[in-house]
Amino acid sequence: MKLFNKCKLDERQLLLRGNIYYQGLGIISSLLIVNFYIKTFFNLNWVYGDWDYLLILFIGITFICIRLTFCDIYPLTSIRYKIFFFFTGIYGIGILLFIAYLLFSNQTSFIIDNQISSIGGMVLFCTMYTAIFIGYLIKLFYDKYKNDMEDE
Amino acid sequence: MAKNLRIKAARAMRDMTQKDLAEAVGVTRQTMNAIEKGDYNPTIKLCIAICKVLGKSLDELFWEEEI
Repeated sequence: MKLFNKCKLDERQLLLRGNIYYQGLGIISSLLIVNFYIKTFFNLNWVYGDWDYLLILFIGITFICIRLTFCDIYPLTSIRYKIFFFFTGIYGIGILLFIAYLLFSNQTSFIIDNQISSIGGMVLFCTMYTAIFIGYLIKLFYDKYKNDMEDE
Repeated sequence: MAKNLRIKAARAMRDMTQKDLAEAVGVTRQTMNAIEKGDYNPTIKLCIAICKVLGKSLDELFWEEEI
């Protein structure tokens, strides 16, 4: 276990991280329940295939990532986290641009048969990736310009 | 929670930045900032570590201020 336990967080970070994971789990659970009721009692398949579960899971992950970023759990100056956030940005924005091209050239559609298509699901998925990256950028600029530092 | 200006004053007396104090007690600068701003209540273990570094007692740094 020591091999996997490389993360060293202080007591405040551990407490906040636990609370954030708890909130994320609550969000995922609530959305799953709502999704169940919508599909069972209203007979409404709002998205194609099993994209609903993936989207719900990723909504929770997006919430957790953004909250962890804004609560200073991730050391934003660390190269490991820089790579992680830039990867999410490149992936999210890159795929979004490609899908935008497909949508605007009428090769596919966001909604098919009154439900969000798999391409539409992908758009939402990539939007969340992009949101994580934008959250990182906002936090970066906020830390830089906010008067958080002590007078030295 | 009220700001903890006593920690800031004790730190300034020793010519330490928040980062210096944070590294000395084994926490991040953001955590030390949160303690000084009153946004976070440290555990007794961390309080003792801060007191040891700053050379003050628990009462001097963390007891309630009399109005």
